[in-house]
Amino acid sequence: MATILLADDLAFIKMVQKEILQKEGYDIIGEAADGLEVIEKYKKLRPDVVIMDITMPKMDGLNALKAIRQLDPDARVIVCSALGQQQLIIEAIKIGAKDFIVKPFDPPRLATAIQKALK
Amino acid sequence: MEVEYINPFIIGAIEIFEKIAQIELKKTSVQVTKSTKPANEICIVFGVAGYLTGQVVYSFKNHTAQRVVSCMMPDSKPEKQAEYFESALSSLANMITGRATILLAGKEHIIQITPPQINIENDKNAAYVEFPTINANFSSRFGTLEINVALRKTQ
Ligand SMILES: [Mg+2]
Repeated sequence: MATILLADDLAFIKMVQKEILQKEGYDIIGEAADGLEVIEKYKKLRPDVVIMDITMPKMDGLNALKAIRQLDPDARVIVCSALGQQQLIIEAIKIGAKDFIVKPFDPPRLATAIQKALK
Repeated sequence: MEVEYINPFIIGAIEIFEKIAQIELKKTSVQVTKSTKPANEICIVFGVAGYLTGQVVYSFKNHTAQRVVSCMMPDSKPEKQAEYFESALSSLANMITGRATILLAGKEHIIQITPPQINIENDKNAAYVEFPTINANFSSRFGTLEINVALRKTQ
């Protein structure tokens, strides 16, 4: 089954994502709370998919996304943020996000985004 | 501070409370004040930058916050609700602020926010903004919510 790395500064959000994804059979192999930690964990764990928040301490999610895509041009990153502003969605897709999910999201939305990213 | 900046927060708060906690909020009052200093002991603070600059502060009484968190995690044990207490409230406030930024940014602009800063006993030293603020109050079956919004267009 596909492996997933979760990045969000808020533990509650990661707990909700983890419950949804474990029910779908995905393997959550790591969690990060800021932009620098997610880059470190990506290098070490090489997950199939990263679910990435935007507003995080130390480095925001869009800069972390850029860094991860430089490390691995095939990296599959799904942005999951409450800041669903049109210009931010355009920016995220431009720098290589596979999808953009606006919080609060319905559980099937997250599962579908991962299935699509894995294709 | 433009009065219309408050409406996206009012819409966001009502929508997100309903969706995330199944709690119905009713707006009770809106007025202009001099600072974002909160009225209640539990508060969540966001800095705002980009197209708009300023601060947004959400505050609850402790007993209200406890009930809100238990509505957000209805299937979890009390210990788990306690473990996630601060993070659940921060997430709720984060989603309301996010919803408001979508409405405020429109099609052209970008608004950034800081990660939420939560204070659980009305920290007198916290840095609140002394700037014209719109204060909005809501009631619910578990008590009140206050939102203080101080925003201006970035020069
Ligand atoms: Mg965040």
